[in-house]
Amino acid sequence: MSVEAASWPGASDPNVAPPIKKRKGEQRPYIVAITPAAILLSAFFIFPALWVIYTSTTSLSLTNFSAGAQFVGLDNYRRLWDNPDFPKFVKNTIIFTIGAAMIGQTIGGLLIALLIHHAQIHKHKLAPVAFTAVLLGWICPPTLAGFIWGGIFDYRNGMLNTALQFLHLGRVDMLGNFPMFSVILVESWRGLAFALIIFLGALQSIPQQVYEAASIDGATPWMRFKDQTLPAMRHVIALVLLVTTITTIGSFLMILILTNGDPAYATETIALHAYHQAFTLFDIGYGAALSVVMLLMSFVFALVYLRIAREGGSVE
Amino acid sequence: MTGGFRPVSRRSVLGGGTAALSAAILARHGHSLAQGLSGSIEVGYEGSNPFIGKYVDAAAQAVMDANPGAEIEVIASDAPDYLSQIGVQLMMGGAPDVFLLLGLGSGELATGGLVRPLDDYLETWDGWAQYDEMARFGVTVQGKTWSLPWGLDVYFLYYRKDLFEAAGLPTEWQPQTRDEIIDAAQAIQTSNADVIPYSLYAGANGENGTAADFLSLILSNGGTLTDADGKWFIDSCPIRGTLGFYDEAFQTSGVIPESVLSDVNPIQTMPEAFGDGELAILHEQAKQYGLWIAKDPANAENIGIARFPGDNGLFNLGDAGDAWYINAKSKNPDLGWAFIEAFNSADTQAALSAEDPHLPARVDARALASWSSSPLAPAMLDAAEGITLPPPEPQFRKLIGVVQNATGLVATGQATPEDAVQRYSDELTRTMGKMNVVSETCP
Repeated sequence: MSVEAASWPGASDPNVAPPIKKRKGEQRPYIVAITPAAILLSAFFIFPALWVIYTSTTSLSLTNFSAGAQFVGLDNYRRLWDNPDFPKFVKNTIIFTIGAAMIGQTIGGLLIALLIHHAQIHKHKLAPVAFTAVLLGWICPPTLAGFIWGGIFDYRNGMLNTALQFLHLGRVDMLGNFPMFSVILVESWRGLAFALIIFLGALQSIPQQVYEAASIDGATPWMRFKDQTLPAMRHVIALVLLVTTITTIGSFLMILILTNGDPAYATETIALHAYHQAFTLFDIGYGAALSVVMLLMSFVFALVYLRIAREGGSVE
Repeated sequence: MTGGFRPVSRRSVLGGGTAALSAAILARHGHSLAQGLSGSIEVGYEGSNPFIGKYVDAAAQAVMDANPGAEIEVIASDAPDYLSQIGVQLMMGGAPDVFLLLGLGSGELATGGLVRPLDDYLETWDGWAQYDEMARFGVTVQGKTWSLPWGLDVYFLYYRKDLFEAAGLPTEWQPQTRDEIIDAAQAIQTSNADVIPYSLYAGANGENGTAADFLSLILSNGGTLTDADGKWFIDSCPIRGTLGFYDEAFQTSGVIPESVLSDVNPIQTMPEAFGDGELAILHEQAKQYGLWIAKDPANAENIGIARFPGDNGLFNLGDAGDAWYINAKSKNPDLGWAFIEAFNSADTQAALSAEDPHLPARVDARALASWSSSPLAPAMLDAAEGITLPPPEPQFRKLIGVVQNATGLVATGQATPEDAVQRYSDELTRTMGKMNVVSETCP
């Protein structure tokens, strides 16, 4: 045994493989391979994010465009802090995210994935139909989806109220009386399929023998879910939560189409407010400050989820 | 209204119908069209307007015929939010050399240095003498003219004669007070529970319609948005009266259902409902009248036209309508002006204003039979003296969000008019700055 070989940790254990030796220039192919991704990431995320952070410290707007982006320090953040409606926007964002990302898409997606997986195992004929129905929400262009749901919720001629009247029930003003519930429902419908696909893939990777053994030991369906399915999917659930949360925090198109933040800011989230400020009022600096707050919220959620996922890994 | 931009549809090949129109422009105005121009420009407008395209094409063709070295590419934008698209394009580059946008935007675009003043061109254009003070007012900022309107928007209070008759109301109706509007709406409500008696735009979904109705009510209450020094009123009797009227209409009398507020797109659905006989009273732009008649000619008999009642008499809200701007970054502004000049002939303004009801910006166009024989022309001429236009105030856009919030709070019953006034006052002060607002005590 050479001196070099004996120096690596675990050298005394014959079951542990020696580390791969890296010669000079050997990493070049890896660097070349990741360069396009790094360039794309920089072009479409890092540089825009830096530009937004910079812009949030300027007074850039349509009415003073010729004067250029003048540095105003933290003025835009102070304006945001002084805005008595800002806590409402934060609250709306949290409710919208919990409702659409956590409950609607993640929990809803998991439940539907379990049902479809169960149906697939038992070769139920309607399993592909249910899967396709959920996928439709995902592949439907967002603008079209917004108008479809606008047509469903319309107070006078919408499908929902037409059906209710057919049943001799009173009309419901969904967007007027239940605006947040309505936009959460539509956002959940839009994003459910992503969670479903990931969860279905994870469920299919769990060996059936595990469940069969648990059944032999007398485990009920709930115990099999709690003791076998859930622990096996912990990382996947964290991943789905991470992705759907970050996506939902920044998502506002459905709200824009359905309520535009109405009634009286009841559905105005930070993302929608940022859009209104930047692209309706063209107050770009202030809109950018709102975007930075949104970015920070996404980071916080990302850190929490990654920590949960890591802790799950160490427990296992 | 929505976020993403769809690609614009470009039409550089002009159609057969255009040839006749452009020939007419050349035959009548060929001697006065600018000549010897070369190079290329882009001309943009909102493609959703079903009437204007052929006139844009004809003017572009006429200029190209008069200037063989010139090329004009016409862009009919399909963007769902044309205003946002142009705003972003102007700031980031890529906006057309010449574009059609609300004349009311003259203030902010001029202040931002994004458009070119037209005064040098107007001085040598004989058509400018045909623009009266009212037509010039809506596009003048700090003594300069920043865009050229082709027709003024005029608002009327429309009512359905068939629904009025069924409710026992007179079919020739002109309310003298705001209360008479509520009274008529209540009679409609009692007579037919299936129709919407009256509609006012409120909240964010009402978009610019909310600001227009708010402004009408401010004027009706004898007020203005700003004082003589240009400071914004944050509290005044007219503001209190306006928000009080919203409360009366939506909550106290209930003649406007809250579903009008929560409708996904009320500025489209309410005019449609009116045209279909499902809404009795609506305050809207004259151009809606053209759409109602085009959809059902019988509507000409069924739709009554009234002026808005105010404390100081009857009036009509107006605005500069759509106007032509020259991009400050245009490398060929002379060719851009040649297009604008060709488009704004008296014939074109008269013909277009008849199809898409507007008050032609040119006085001589108002005298042409092609416009004066159109159904709404007599009412617009009668109203012309009493049309009140908002100035192209650079900060007007910021006001819209504040108005939407205040009216939305009152209309949903989430705030009393007094609380909403306080919200309006606080929010407008934050938005405009303490130095730029003023309060007027209300006894």
